[in-house]
Amino acid sequence: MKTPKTNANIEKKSIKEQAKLLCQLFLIFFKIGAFTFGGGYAMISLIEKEISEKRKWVDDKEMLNILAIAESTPGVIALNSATYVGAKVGGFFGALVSSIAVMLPSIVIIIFLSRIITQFQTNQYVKWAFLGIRSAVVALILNAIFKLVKGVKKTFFSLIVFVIALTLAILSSFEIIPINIIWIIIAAALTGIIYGYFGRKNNKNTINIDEDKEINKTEEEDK
Amino acid sequence: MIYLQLFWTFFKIGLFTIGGGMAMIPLIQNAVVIDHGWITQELFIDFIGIAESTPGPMAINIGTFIGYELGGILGVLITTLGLFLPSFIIIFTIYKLSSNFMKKPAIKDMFLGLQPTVVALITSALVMVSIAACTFTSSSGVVSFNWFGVVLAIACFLVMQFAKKVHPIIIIIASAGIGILFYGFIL
Repeated sequence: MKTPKTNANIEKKSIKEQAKLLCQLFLIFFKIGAFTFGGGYAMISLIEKEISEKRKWVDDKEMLNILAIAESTPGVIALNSATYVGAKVGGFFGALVSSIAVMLPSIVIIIFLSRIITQFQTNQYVKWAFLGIRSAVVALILNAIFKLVKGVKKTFFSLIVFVIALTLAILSSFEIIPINIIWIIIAAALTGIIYGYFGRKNNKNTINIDEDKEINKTEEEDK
Repeated sequence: MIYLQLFWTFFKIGLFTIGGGMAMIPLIQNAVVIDHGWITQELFIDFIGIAESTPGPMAINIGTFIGYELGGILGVLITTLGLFLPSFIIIFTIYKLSSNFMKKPAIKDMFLGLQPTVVALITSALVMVSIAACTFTSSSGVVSFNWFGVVLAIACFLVMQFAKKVHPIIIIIASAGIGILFYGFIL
């Protein structure tokens, strides 16, 4: 009996309230876009704080679910989480407003910086500075790889997939074989599905329980 | 035509990267540097450094930069729209359908293949980035080995591993300073 009532209440929200909610969403995600350095993962803690701790729009459990979805669906993580939270709080327009707001600061800052960069590109000091930054970027990417490796289950299967994908990707980068890396990604997803399907078929009950346990373990370790 | 190409390129990048951030680098590199030759490998790396030290999602930062370089403000709108649409459509659909969608066994299985592949793709991007970062190309096109680039990269990596509280931006700014000092005044 209670649910239809609350539903009716949501629909009856006046235009004024709706507009206020959208404004709030815009401001929150604009702030998140403007003040998080280092992309997606850095944003997640800020989103959690603003949306579930401060405003209680989403409870903790659902927040975790949203973040899992944002991380494992294609696209920019920050955009994914903004879209989902926005949709949850304010429907279609909520999703639209939140995702635009989270991109806007980046766009403005980078347009401004692009002008400066192209002007100073020939400056000798800027060249030297960027030679130094390139080394830092190598370290940053290596660091990201180290972090990612920790999250991958180390099985014989994942090792083989890694070696094949790496070989194909390098051959494609040096333009030795004409393969777009998008095909490598699609093939990997299909391989995973086939491997998982037959893996489950072969050892029906015992393995499933073990797998669930392992997943729980890794989740706990992550925390 | 450039606008159509920009849109399609960034739409594909948005649609096929899983894991965000660094996982986008191989796809962006493949499309923007290798396939289309819109920017050089060196400028691409410089821009990863800039994107890491400015706020906001990295893919949006890089997309905006390339859009602006190639097509001005309209180019920016088009690249960001390309990145935005796949995310928006997919997430909104999942929201409408069910949030339990991701718990389906087939989706979980997919990640058995995707996780090691994402690591492999970033590793291959690292190979390309390392080659560009650790060599000098003189104006006459002669390539020589830059040993200091290797040393600085290892030093930065060690700092990241053993002093985790140091924010990446500080490392980037410090390496810029060291770059000016070393390449400008010592070498």
